[in-house]
Amino acid sequence: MTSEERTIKLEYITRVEGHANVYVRVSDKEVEEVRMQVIETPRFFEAMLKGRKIKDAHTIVSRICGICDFSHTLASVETTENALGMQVSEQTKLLRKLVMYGQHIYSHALHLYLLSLPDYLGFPDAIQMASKYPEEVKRGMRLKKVGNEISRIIGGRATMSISIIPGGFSRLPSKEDLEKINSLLKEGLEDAKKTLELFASLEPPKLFRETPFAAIDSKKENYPLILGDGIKTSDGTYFSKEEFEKKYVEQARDYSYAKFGTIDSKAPMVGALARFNVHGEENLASPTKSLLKSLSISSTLTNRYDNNLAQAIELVDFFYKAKEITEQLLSTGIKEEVPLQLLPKEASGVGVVEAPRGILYHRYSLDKEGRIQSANIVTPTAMNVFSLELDIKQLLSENLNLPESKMVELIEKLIRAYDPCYSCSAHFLKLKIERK
Amino acid sequence: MEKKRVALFSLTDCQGCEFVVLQLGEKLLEVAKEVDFANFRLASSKKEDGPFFISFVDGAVTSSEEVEHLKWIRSNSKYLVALGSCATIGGVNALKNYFTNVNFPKEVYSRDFESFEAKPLSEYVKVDVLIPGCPINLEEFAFVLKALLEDKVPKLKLAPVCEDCKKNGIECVTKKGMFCLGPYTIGGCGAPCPAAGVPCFGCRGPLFNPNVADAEKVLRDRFIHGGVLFTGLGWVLVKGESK
Repeated sequence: MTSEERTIKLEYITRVEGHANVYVRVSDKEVEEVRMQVIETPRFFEAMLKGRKIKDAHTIVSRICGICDFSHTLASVETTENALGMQVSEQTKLLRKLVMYGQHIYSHALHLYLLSLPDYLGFPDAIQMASKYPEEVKRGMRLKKVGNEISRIIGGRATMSISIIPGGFSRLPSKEDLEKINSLLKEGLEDAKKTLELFASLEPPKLFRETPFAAIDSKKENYPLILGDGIKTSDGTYFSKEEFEKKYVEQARDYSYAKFGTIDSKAPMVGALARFNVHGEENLASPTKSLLKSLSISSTLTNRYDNNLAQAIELVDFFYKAKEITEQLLSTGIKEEVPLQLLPKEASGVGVVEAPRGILYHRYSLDKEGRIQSANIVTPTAMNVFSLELDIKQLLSENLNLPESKMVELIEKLIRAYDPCYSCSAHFLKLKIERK
Repeated sequence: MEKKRVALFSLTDCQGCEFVVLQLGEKLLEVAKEVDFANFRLASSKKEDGPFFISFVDGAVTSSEEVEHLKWIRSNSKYLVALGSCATIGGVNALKNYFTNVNFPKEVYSRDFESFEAKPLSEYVKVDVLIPGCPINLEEFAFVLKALLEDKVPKLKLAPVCEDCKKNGIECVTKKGMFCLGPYTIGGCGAPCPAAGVPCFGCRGPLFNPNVADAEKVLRDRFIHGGVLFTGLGWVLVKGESK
């Protein structure tokens, strides 16, 4: 141990969902050790699902996370339908896509304006930021509300959906509901565009590290958020969702309540930046593409801190895509449909969706009465933990000469750029560590 | 007038109730004119010590660290509000209690670490106001906040969810043959579940005088046979079993 060795502890990371710590040990020459510790209390969801009837799974798992609850619900119903061989209607798929756009609009707006922007404008929170930047904060709140309203109208409630159930919807939106959504999207579009302009004008720190970006892939969908068939990475790997647990290899660390995962021995990054890089600009709506061009935004974003920019791009893009679906549903009209019946059998199923923070994987095995025998859930924040730890290591080695307060600032900004959700990541660990 | 200092803390949960608070949106800026959010980790980097005029605490208590933290919050707060089902009745976490009884975590997780039975805040400290729900209802939060800022402690109205259904003209789901916990559950939520064609599963917790003995037999049977029951009355059932 050299006398110059220092330890940096970040033990109260704010403006992220859930609880995590970072421990860093550096000497004057190098970064000795970085530990990304997820300390959120485990809640044993996979264990709690055991013995529950499959019809209740989506209700239980939505409580894993208060910000991406709709993503868990949608992953859950897709997994159930996959297990029981249920083919939902085109209308159901469209409504689910629409509600998922709502979830992403809400989550991105919240993250960009309330959690990340204060870093760039130098405030501890959005409320105080409002004293100098009232228009920006109000814009963020308005955008968030558009997402919340779509969720509420389609899902029955803005937080913890009610009507999204396996097989379809327990309550379908009316024509008036869809018209309301349509007008909200119309009114909010200018705000979404301004968000992209704002985030394109910021000058984030820089960090480049070679890493595979990973996102779900779908035969039928471009830039999919639901209905995933498999996983695709930026370095050309593809595997089906059924192969997920073979290809995504997890290791427990004794210092963290989240497991560290790799694909082809490399730590992947998931989330908005990954989706943008995997699916590419060509799969964005054409008005989004023109906007990117006019703002001279590159078609590949490799700076880690640009996850915020990618979220802003998606925000605009999802406004356009949600509007297209709403108009389609309005022109065909909502058909009265009852949800498909759940016919229990011994089976297992998997589902992959894109939560705002990236890939979300669910697997359930059921007995012949439709009771859950075992469940596995892998969340995006857990998938990102390893990559984040490696990023912090590189970030510090490039900035060893900075004073400690600046180092902490850089790390915090990086963590927030990843938009982690530690409640999610800690709820699924299966701690298989041998204790000495 | 000096702003009153308000804090939000979270224990074991999904923080969904804090996200509901953020749904105040632009109104949050109005509230901030009267209130200084001195400690709100989800939304702010400010981390100030007490005393707090009001502390809202979401989440269930599941570790000794959380017990200590909760006691610290209590001793630093004039009013302590339990925010959401996890804090008022243990919430979804209470499902774990059922497994703890059969020593499940150790069998499944092959590593032993501290995780108590999930308990509501009131098991450890005095709670001044309960805001039930999974998640909470924003109107109730706003109502409680306003009352407490005026130094008035609001009382929870004890009427079943059925009243909400009647008031809102929602067709009774039991007519469709569904098993609904609405008659046993604290109302005031507006009955969004029955409104969406789904039966109430008791997330806001039991009315104080339900016929628990009778209900418990039915509920235990339902639970063992895979009924949802993960909050509310499920907690009564689980609590009954563990004690």
